[in-house]
Amino acid sequence: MTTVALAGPEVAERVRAAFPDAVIEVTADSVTVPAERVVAVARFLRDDAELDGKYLNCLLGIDWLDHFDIVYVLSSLAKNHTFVLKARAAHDAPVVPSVNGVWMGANLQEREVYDLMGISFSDHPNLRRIFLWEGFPGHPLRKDFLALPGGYKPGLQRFPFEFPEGQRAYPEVEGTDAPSAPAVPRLDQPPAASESPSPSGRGQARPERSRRGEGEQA
Amino acid sequence: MTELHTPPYVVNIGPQHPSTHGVFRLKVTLDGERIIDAEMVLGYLHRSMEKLAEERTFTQNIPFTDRMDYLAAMTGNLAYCLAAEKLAGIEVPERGSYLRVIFAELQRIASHCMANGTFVNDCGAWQTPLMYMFRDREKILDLFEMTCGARLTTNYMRIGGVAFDVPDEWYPAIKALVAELPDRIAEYEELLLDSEILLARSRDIGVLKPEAAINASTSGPLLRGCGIAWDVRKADPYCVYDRFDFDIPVGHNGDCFDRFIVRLEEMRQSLRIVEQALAQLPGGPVSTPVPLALRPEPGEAYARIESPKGELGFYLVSDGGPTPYRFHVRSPSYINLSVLKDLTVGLSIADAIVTLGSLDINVGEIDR
Repeated sequence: MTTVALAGPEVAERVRAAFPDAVIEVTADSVTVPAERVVAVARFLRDDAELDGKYLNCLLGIDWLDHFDIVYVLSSLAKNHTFVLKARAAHDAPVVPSVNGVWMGANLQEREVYDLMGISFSDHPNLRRIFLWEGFPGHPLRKDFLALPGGYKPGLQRFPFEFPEGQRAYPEVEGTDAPSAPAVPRLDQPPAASESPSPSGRGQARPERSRRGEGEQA
Repeated sequence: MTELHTPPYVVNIGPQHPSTHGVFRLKVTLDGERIIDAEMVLGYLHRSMEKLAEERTFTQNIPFTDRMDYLAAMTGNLAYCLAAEKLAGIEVPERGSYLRVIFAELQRIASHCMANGTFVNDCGAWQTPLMYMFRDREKILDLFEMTCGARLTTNYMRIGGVAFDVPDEWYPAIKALVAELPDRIAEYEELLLDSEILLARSRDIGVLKPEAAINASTSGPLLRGCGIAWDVRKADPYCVYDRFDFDIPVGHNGDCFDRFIVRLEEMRQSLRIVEQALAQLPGGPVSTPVPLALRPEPGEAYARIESPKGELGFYLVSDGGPTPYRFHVRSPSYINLSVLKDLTVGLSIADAIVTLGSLDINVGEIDR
């Protein structure tokens, strides 16, 4: 016995039968509806005899930069199948109706999405931040949280042991004993202005710390 | 006779309190000794793992999963690796799958030892049962240490298999443990199931109805305690669970005591699985080579397992790059808390603490 993952078109057909114009996108494993229709569709999916989505496995938000997707992974314990519903919300001031009245298990998960992704759930009984404190600036799971100017992304774009695209071997390095590792481009494009902290600035910070340490010992 | 009401007052249980099993705070409003409102305050252990994971490669994210449910690191590893393998379409060698099952089940026994030990501790059977159960957990952690060098944050599973094969001295040690543990579990049942302290404190306390349990997405012993035989290992077998013969223990009343006996019985069933897996353990490689910078095709995958706390799932989204575009954890401890308010309102503080203990929460997994 294995859980059957229902195909997106199969679920979409059932949803279209009840709500002819609600489905806006169908992929191989999911059905997308506009955010404002989600409660009616959710209630239909829960109560429909064939789909029987009584169990909400998980609820999460995905930031696609131009819009948000709220993903509802649903399953039926009686029929042992699972399927995915998505609600699409605009990127500016996203509001999604709360499905807390359909599945009680959505309560905490919607608060988490609100806290970390900044999506507001209308009609939620207790929509407050849950992990971060009230007044925390921004919503960390958004892709533009702490966005650096010029699209600069920290970290390596390729890895030290990974050859660049098209290259199959280490380049020949002449006139040196240094190990011939491939040159690793750190950035897709360098930041606009090079504002690296000067070494003298770092040097000043260190005696400051040690002096404080001495004071504490005394 | 008229009922006497006192003005409602608020008591904070936690964040630093032995009964909350971590930095978890429960704000209860009391009328006399009866709870009329309960509100939980979370986030004391929030490390923003879902954001951190977006900056690290698929392989680099494995150690985070140890630190979510730190009492069950193996199952955390396993759930994440299964999700990454589903996303990238990677097959695991058979020996790797068997070792995964063995270690996940040992971890379940260790986690249930901890859960049951602290639960009876909350009920008033102070420290002795906990120390007895720690004795068994210790031996399981020794097996982990033998294999991967770590006891708590194991970081043992890899995408495509497991990190190391087991050493030679592991086989006699696990055989001795498997032979010894059934007697231990029988001893606990003898000591605890007729214990007046435990029965008086946990029978008919914190009763959860099956419909409410499903509607609130609860999972694990909490769901099975109210009589629903739902176990991901049976319903949607991952690894090689379909090759083993084991039962799903269920409760009848959905009270705290039922959750406790479900966990005790699950320890015995886990032993059965370990025994069968050891007998069938095939040879061959334990893992399949996977590129250092794994770049799965763009897509989304949700994989779930039955962790000691319930259904642990990972929802991964890839955009074709070396790091996950979105890394979401379906954390059973967190979602099981959905019913906490309904369970505790109407109880006294002492009973609320027993109810919280019976949920078996882990704050590392709640806050992430």
